[in-house]
Amino acid sequence: MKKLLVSLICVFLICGFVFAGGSGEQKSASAGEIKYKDSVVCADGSQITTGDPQAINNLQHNRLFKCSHNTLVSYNTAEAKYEPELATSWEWSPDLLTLTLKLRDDVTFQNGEKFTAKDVEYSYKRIMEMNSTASSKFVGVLDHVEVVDDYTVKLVLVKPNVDWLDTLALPLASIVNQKAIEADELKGPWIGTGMWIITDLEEGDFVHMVKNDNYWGEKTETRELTLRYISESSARLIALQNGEVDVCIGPASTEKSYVLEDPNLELIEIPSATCCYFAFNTSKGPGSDENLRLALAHCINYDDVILGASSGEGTRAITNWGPITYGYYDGFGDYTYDLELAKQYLAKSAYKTLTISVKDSARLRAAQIIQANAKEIGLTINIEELEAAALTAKSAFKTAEHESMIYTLGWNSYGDDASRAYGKGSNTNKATLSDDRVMELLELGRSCTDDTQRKQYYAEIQTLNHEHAWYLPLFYTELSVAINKGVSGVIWEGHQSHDYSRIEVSL
Amino acid sequence: MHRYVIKRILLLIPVIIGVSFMIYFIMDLAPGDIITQLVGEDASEEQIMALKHQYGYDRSVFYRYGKYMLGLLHGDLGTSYITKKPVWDMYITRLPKTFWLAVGASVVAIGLSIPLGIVSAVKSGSLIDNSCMVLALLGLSMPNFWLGLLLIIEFSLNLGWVPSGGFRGFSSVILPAITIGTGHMAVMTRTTRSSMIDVIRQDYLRTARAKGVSERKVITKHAFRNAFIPILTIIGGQLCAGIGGAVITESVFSWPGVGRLIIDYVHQCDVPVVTDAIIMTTIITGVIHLAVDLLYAVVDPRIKGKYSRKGIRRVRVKKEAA
Amino acid sequence: MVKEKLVSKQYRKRSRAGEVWHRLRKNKGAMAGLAIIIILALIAIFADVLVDYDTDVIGMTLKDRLQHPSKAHIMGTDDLGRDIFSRLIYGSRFSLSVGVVAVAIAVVVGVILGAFAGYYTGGIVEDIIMRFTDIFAAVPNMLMAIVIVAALGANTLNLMISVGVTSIPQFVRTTRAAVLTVTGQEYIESARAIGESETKIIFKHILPNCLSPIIVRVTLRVSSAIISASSLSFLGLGVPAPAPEWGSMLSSGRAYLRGYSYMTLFPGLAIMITVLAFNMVGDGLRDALDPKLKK
Repeated sequence: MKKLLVSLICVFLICGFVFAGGSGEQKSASAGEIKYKDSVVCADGSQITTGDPQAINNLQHNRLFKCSHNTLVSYNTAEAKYEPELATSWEWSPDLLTLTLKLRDDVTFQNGEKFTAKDVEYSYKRIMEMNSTASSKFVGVLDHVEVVDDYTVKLVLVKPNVDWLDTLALPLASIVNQKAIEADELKGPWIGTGMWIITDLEEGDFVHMVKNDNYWGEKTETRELTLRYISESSARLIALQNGEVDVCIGPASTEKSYVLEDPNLELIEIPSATCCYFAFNTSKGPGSDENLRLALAHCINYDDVILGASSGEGTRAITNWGPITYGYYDGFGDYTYDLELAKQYLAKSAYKTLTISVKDSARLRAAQIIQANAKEIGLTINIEELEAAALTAKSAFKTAEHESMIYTLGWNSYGDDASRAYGKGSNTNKATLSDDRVMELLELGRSCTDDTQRKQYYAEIQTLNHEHAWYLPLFYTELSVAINKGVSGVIWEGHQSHDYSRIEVSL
Repeated sequence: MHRYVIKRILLLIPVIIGVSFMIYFIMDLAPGDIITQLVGEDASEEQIMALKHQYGYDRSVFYRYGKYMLGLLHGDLGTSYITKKPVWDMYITRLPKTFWLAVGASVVAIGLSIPLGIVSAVKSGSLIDNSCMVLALLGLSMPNFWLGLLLIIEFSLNLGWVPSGGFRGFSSVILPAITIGTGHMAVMTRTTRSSMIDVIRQDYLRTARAKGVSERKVITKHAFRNAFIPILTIIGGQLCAGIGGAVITESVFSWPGVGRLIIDYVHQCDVPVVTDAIIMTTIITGVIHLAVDLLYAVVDPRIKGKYSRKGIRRVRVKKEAA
Repeated sequence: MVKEKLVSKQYRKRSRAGEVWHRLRKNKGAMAGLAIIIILALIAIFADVLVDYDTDVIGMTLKDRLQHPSKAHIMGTDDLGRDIFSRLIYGSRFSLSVGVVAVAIAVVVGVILGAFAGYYTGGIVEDIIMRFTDIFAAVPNMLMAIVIVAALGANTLNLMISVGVTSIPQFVRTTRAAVLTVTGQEYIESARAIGESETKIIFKHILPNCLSPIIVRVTLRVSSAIISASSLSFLGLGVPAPAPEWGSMLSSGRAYLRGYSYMTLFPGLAIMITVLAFNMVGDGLRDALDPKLKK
């Protein structure tokens, strides 16, 4: 028996060493005085499931596609302006229905194909027909694409939309190659014009990329880039402390001190565009009663909510609008913490109980604090903890069976992003709003080119929200990223779709 | 013997049909659906309808199940809704990782619990016996994510001996294997102890002792060999449990195994991935159970005769009684 | 071998319970376990007297959040400033009742099905029950639990049901195996000969003689039910907030493991001690019920 055991262990050991053989890390000298790491690893808590930029639209995938693919234009958050990427210049027609773009003529895809206007037509058509999370941004907005010549393309819209350039800058509008996709439906979409070639993608584990030596733009010293999925935040930070990874997205707030203590690490705090807010279902039940809504608005201790839900690392939100989103307005000020006033409102309401639906632990903590606050004015709150998919289904615009919920929305920079929270029919309209004036204002804002006028429209929406308390803004989450001190070249974004493509790690 | 093996394999078929139907049915009941996963929360009505049609969600669950089974009959495990990859590819990249973890956990469990079990059987009723059992139970009662993180902090962060997670060769198997293996320890130690106690008092051991064989040899060679069958059953059972994956340990160690494949895709309502992964797990589990039963015959030649047609039921009864 | 069994059976019939108790009492581990279970049960029953639910258990003082153990809070406070000790005391109610009720559900269903499968062995009844058991056992517990909780809603009762349902196959198998060994005995034959109804034979003559493996399985299963419930809480499918269940306390402390390890240490210890106690009693019972181990 002993022999059997020993031999079992031996077999196990040998196999292990065979596996271990391939995982050494090489470091080499490079040009200039500073030496850079050849292989860089970035860790995140969400998994990447596909290399097709048009199939999905979420943060972790956007970070990948910003490396592997290019869009026609890009948005520079720091300077708040659009910049050329695959397009060199663009021009709107006077009726705001046609956008004409001039394209670069020196770009090739990673498979060697030349980039032309035909690829733009193919890519955008593909998005429209794809029926993915990405396509909802194009369907109903873009009418068709006209190829003028090899390097000129015309985009014709269904109706005027001044935020259209922003959509073009999203990673989902990346340009893919027709030949590659026709040759291989699964891996073809991986091929873009970006600096990084996706070589290996194991969903639930990692994405491996190597540098494209024929990239049309400025290249980095880094040769290999890996995005790794480490779901537990503690384990992710330990991997960084161990030097196994160079970037760790979202270390737990209680563990930030380990980053600060470590001389090799650095903590980056990014002003966040993510707003956590309380949403009443205004279409039916207790949430449809304005008195109840205002009662709750005046009894919540917002500082406690921030302290409990995000360990105090959030910034108080006055409006539920994104802080870097076009049209932000907070002139109406905060709700006063006034229990007497809250009691008066509650007395006028027929409802004395309210259910809050939540899905994760931070929101659960926030709900528990609100529950305790509401108890002081005699409002009973039940908390319903749901699975993410269940909550999404329950709170969709058409179903809207929730009474209230705590929601976090990551805001983009363009003004019409407000449609997600306020637009009729939008499933992220968790208040189930269909207020006529709000819908009118959104429509006006979408097609208005006058800056002052457009900002006024959006300010009015936010003021209306403050008066009617459909959404109670709670706080903006604070984003932090822990990195190896040598990391440079990353563009950190408030909406979390960071651009890793020019990442370098000095040794 | 052949007849027995064939019968056992054929018996898997109704189970697979039942399992697959149940998963389909259960996933249909579960909240959320693949359509929302695919088009996101802010999709238009037309998009949703088109997708529903594409994936058969405008028809009943029976239609979808029938279509799936038809594919399965042709050896097609289907394509993932989310990744658009063949499910077989997804499963097969995960299986070796889960396999190594399961084997590692069994090695840890065997290595720790057999000595503990033998010692407690030999010293049955004493303080040593009780402390061995408490030690074995500690592993069971310690939550895996807790033990896992403590191990990572100590052996990976402080000592730097092993990587903190992921599938990175042999050294990365050690910590998760310990985490799972110690959880298996309790049952295995207990089984070893009780079957050793059964054997230890038998006459032939007295004979062996009388012949002058050393006590150590009596225990390790004569007694243990005869006590091995129930232990083998437990090892088989634990390997099976391991093949199904260990969700929590896998998340703590970011281990890309089958357990997380199933749970991740349950959350994303990807029915083909979940169903296939569970079917594959069922098949492998069935095969392991069969292999364990056949191994009995190797360990104990007396059992061989029982695999004749008459003997089959008796063997099954005996196994379940254990 | 058969003779021995029969003799001891006759012997046992006279004062079986008394004799088992006598043997159990000699087992120090089992007695320690029993004492712990009794103390825990008392704590659970008198939790209302020991702590005040509104102020101590769910009352939050955010300025006192994340305090290490001290005189004021002997086990420290959690991330919402609640006293961990009070929550542990009150949490015993949920954790113990989840364990016990879940197993009760599994026992009732599992034993009945197992008894029928064992009695009508070789027939279609057995095949149907056992194949269904195989199917149930093949579906991962977590998936099953997620679906049950999702379909029925997350509350304590549904948590019990989902943990209970996933334990059914074990009881079916244990019971069936035990029934099979008993069914062949002579007194069952004689009961049949007298013409007693089959249901009566199963419930009156067979099951009482199959109790020992089932009892052992119950004690062991209670502890794994407590662990399963805490795993479900780990996935957010447990007892709804703000009620303190040990598993959910443990999982909410997960984010604070480094630096605030006491937040997981104490609920972890509580689960550990309970599981240990049930297992020690289970082991002791197994030894006491096993005639082969009689000295």
